Amino acid sequence: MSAHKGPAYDAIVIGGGVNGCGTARDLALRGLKVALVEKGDFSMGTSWASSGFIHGGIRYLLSDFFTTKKSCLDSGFIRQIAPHLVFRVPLLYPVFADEGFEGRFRLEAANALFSLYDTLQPLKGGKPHSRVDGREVYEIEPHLRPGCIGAVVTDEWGIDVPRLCTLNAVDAARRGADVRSWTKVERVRRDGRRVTGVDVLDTLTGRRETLHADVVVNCAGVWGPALSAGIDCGYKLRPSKGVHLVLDRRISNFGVLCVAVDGREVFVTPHENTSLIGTTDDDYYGDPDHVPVTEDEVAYLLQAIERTLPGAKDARVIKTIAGLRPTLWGWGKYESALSRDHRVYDHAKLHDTEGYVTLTGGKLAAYRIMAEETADLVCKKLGRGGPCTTHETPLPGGESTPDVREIAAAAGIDAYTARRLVYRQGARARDVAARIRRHPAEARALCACDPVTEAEVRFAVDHELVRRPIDLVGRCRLTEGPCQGSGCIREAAAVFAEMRGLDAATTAAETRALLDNKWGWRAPLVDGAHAPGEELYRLYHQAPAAAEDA
Amino acid sequence: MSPRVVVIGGGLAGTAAALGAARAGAQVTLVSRRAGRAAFHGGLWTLGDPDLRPLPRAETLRDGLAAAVARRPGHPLARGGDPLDRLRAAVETVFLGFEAFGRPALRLDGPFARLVHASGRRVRAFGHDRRAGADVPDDTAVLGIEALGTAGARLVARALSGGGDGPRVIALDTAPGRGPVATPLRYARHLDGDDFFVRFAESLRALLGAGTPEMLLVPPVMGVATNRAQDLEWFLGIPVREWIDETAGTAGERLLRACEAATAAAGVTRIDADVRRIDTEGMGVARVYLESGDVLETADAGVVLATGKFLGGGLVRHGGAVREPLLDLPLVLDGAPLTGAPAATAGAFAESQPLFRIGVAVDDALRPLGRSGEAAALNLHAAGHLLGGFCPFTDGIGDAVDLITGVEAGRRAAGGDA
Repeated sequence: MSAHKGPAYDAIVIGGGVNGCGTARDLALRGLKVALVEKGDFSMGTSWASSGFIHGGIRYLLSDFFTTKKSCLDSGFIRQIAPHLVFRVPLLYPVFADEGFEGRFRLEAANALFSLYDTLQPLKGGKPHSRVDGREVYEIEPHLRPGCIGAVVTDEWGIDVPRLCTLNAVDAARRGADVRSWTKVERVRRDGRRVTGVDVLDTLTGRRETLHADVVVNCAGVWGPALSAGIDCGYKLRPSKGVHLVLDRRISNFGVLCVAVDGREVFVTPHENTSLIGTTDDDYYGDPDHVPVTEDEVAYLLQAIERTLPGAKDARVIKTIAGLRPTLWGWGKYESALSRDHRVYDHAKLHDTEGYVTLTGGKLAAYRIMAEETADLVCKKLGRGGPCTTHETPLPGGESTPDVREIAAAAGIDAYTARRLVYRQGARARDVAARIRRHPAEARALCACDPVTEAEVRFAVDHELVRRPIDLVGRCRLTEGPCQGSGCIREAAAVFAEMRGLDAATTAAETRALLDNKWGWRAPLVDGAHAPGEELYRLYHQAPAAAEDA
Repeated sequence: MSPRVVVIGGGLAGTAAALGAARAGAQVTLVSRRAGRAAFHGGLWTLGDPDLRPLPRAETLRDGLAAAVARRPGHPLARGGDPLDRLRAAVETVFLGFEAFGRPALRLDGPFARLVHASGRRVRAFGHDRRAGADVPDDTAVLGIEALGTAGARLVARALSGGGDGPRVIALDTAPGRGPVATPLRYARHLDGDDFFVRFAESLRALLGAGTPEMLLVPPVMGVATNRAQDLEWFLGIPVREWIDETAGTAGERLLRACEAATAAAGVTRIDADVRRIDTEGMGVARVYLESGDVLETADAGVVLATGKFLGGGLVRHGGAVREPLLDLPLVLDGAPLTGAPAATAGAFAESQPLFRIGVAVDDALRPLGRSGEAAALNLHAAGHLLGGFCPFTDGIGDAVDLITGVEAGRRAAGGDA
């Protein structure tokens, strides 16, 4: 190795989604020398576009029992290592009189199915399901359309996925891993029958470098097949597009499962200070870097939700989210019937290529166990590395969850701001509070939608692998609230620019990058009620943005 | 008997139309609903040079305006003489009434004051002030207000310094109270109050101590209804200038107040109401129906439609089509008749979107064209952002369109020439 130019590692992990970040952390915890390379910010691909559930997936219970069980088991571990980041999502499955006999049948079937699911609930600390009648259901969810004859209630866990990824990456870095975001793998290097490393490009500095490793781990998700084809280690996925919509407010108490026009189930769920509607599931053949959302997809999802919860019409769709599931290949099945299981490929066996491992497929909820399996294989190939400890080693901030009142008093901030801070930072909320005590002016909220203090932003810039202002979206949910950044984009860019000493042109370019990113998700919505909203947003942002080009 | 004019829309174009008609001797009624895009005015009058290059001269302004007009097919300023001359005339008409706003630092003949770019904020040292600017002296202090964040002040100082030491930044921690998020507009409203202003000014004087600078640059929050920058000058004994910070808030609210004050001073009757429907009879607009149930008879009056685009309610989009809701006027996009609705074009946020270039087309007398291609009604004129043919966001001369077409439509409606 020493003969080569460039640093050498035991393992290089490609991809900063939840699988890549989880695998890098697992390997770093086992004492290995690890690099993690991600072409954007962490969680920017499939992980970002997930529904944010760490659940078993009742949908797959019958077709894929063991995937569901594994997910439930791993949900339980994730709750233990990051208790602050997880929130309970009660789910309601209502049936209406006009659905006739078939509806009644589905209610009974759901009841039976959920009874089976109850046997798995203890694994993830979930509560057993309950059945409510047509009167009770309006007490707990008054905005359902009339005619509900009963419902089944269960519960699942939701999580802040970008933070979950970041915390895995931060912890890996803390344990010695070389973590590089905004760094693109241009080529996997292969020397005869052996993969020896990767050529990378730092997209912010323009610097190119070769990183060497005994094992390269491909966690590149839907980008993996193209990457691997370059070294004749191709494999097949059947990527499926999933679209979500975000509403500007919570419109329900529960996550509500609704029947779409084609009989599929879609849901709306209270998510942070918004509602999340999801999801579509359609085969996708296009460019994974540009997954388009069509007006039809927006209309399809809204139609399904508005039929069950007419109040959704009063809310405003603030953004779309589109991503690709790295679903395993299968022929002759509907998208939703494809297995949600994962695979760890040892390309020594598949393609006679040593030093290359692929983790693909799977569900968010089982990321930790998948990372563990992958790391087991890497250690076996390397002949070194300790046992897995990711199920018991807390993620940063997961050591304990401070009392909200204690943080509010310590920092002199209101209880709601403190609550949100503790949710994102867990035990590290104490560090942010200490920062505010030293600099009281940093108690100022940068964002009106979700009270993110300047201190939290500065803490993230200092401690959470932030390289660009856009990274703050995943760190603190900046720009993700109802105003989509009207209040905070410029503030956040200014704070970042000041901390890192950016010049005016770079700061302006970073601000534009953030505006472009938000616009990309909003563009499919410039319709009907959204046209005035977009005009308003542009009044706020575009005049200065255009002027900066002068 | 003096002519009667009804103006629909109380933004910048509607105000210009009302003032133009009033100065032409008309008896004017202005119908205005809630604030539209005028509330988002940044305070920097981008009337001239569309590229906003520093220090443009008159000839640059003339070329810049002409270039912006030539760039778009069917631009509303394309016909009717040199845009710069018309802009001068419009500015004279409108800004006579804008004393309350502080006459914008628009000097069509002289150089613009120093333009500074900083962190995505275009900062102008001498914006909202009726006196002409001079250069920033070396011994200048830049005020950061902690409740609003001081990063902006530091960026202003850095930008002014040109990389060197530059002006010093002082941070003031005076806040109106421990409330929710402090926004610049809320802070400015608090400064309107005497008690808080006195506390603010005294803290500031204590903060400056003996080291009084030659000039103080302050964030653009020095009062909404009052000119606290001026009061602060008197209190501190040094020049105090607001910088211009193009985020919506204080400047927009000042503009709305100025619009109301200017029209009131010109004797315009103002009705705060939504317009429900407009009826035509023969070749003219006969009646304007208000949501309140009142009806304005307009058969023998001139009518100016200045309802803006989507935010103002001048255009609505439903399903697959964009419509003008009051008279169902035909719409154009880039000089061609519009059918359906254009999809958003993906790409950079700063790119012009076709949806916002849609509007009505007008004849030489600023009368909206009907389906036949002739004027839709003989006594109907249109002004401002309702007009198609320019991009309100990227062309950089939206204010010029509002002022020129507003004043000219007002005069036409009063029976005069533009």
